[in-house]
Amino acid sequence: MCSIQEETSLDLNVKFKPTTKNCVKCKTAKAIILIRHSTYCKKCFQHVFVGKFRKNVEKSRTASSYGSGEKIMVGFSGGPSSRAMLQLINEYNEAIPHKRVYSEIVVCHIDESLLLNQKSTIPLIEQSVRKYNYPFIGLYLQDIYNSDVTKSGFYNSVIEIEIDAKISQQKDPTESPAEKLSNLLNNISNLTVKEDFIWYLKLCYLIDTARKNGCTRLFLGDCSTRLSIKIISLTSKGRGFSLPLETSGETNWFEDVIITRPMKDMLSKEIGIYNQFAGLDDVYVQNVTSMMHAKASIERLTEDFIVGLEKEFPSTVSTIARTGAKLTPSDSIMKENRCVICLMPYQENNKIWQNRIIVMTIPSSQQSNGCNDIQLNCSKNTTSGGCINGCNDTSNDESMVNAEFADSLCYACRVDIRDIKITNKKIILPPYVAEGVEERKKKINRKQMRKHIEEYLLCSEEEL
Amino acid sequence: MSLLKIKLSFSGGIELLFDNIKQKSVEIPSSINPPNSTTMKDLISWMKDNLLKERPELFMSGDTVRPGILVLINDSDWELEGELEYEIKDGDDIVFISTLHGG
Repeated sequence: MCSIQEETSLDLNVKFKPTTKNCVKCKTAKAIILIRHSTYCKKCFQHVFVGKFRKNVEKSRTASSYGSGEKIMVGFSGGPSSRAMLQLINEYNEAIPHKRVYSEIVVCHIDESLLLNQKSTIPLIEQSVRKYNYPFIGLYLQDIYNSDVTKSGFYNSVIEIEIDAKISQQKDPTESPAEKLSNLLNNISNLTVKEDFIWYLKLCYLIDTARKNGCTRLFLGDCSTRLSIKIISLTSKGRGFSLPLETSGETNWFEDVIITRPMKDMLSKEIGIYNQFAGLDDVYVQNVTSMMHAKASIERLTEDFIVGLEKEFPSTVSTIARTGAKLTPSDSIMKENRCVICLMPYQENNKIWQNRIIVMTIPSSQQSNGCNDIQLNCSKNTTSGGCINGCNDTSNDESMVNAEFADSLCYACRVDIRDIKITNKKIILPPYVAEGVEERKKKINRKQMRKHIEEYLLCSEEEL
Repeated sequence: MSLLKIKLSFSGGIELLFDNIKQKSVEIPSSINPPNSTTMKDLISWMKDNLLKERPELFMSGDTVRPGILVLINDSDWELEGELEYEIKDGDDIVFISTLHGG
């Protein structure tokens, strides 16, 4: 008689098995999709899915941009999430043809096929976005080495990491961009670091391209599954300080280009099903950890962990994502403290703090395998012990650049840099990095100069 | 023993494990594991033995598919169709979508 279902609680089999086979929304049609604990019919599923997207986009529309029409850029990797995003943006914008929300939509794809020695992905991607008739920009990741991928548009100094831990700033050498990029990435043995580098180079390139094309908004297709993976992996990589900026639905950290993530509330499962129903075929783009085992990198391992957990406990992703969404950027984030590599904020004096808590080199092994470590300390000769306050009295030009460079990195990028293996080949960082260092130097000089002459100044307005 | 004709589709990168073929019609015995009729569980292990070209660990985990791989049976989520216990019928359309590395 008793019809109460047993609720097994300690068993692994806690997964909710829906008893009703009807859609929870319309309650009439037969359910065909299970999203977390809810069952949906096809029609209601699509409705809810599009609704989530619209809610996020509407939220990001500011009063000023209402009606005037923004020019936006869509970061399009070709994967399922960005594929669905492009379709949704298109539907949203064309809903009322005479009153478009966005005046122009540019689709931008960055090709990273060089890293895997594969065919370029640009032709395939271009084909799949052609039907939307949007301007398409296909870029090669290696072209980030071009002097025009900088703020000024023609900055051609680069930072070179040399064999005995010298980091010198010099005029752009003559290798091709492809050679420079493969030199840099091939000398990173650690896949976690490699992925990091690739991602931030891509992000910087996207931001730069959006800016140069007059786009005020950049749409990225991170879905909630992806974001929850990012929240955990960024934390483990020591990027907690910038985490709220890197995972939020919207951020104006890049000032003139606002990053929006309209897919932040959709699970990768929803996106996969939506694409299947809508007949959207994504382009499979391989990356450096494709087909690798789970322990290949922190990111891969986190993915494996979260996706595996989600299978047994379907609320895992949304719990992480929602908790992450509550994070707000720290008050101590300052616009001028921008890491020159990832362009994310760094904590003031993080170098001092890092030196205090981390053993960068084992004292006894400093001599023997010193060539594997890039010393980003203020003095290039650490064994002499003159490093503690050597920062101010280095007259040497090279170590000055070295110190300036080290000072303008965030904690995680400084850790990453140490994984670059120095060989005979020149390892070069893109010009935008060098430009960042230079810019920072100028700012500091100006500040110091102001300090010097402060007492002679008549007015103390922030004019300088 | 009769044969069941079914259509298999792969997308989201999982096709790389199956010789880069996106769609395939196959015939499988109606009872791989007699006397029971063929279920999804049987199909998955049959696919592993007959179709999978490389790296079974990227497709399977235990006797089911790896987390992160979606399965649709006739456009319906397999989690509502009984997952591994679903009995395969002639003419079924089964889609495997990998959602890993997406985004």
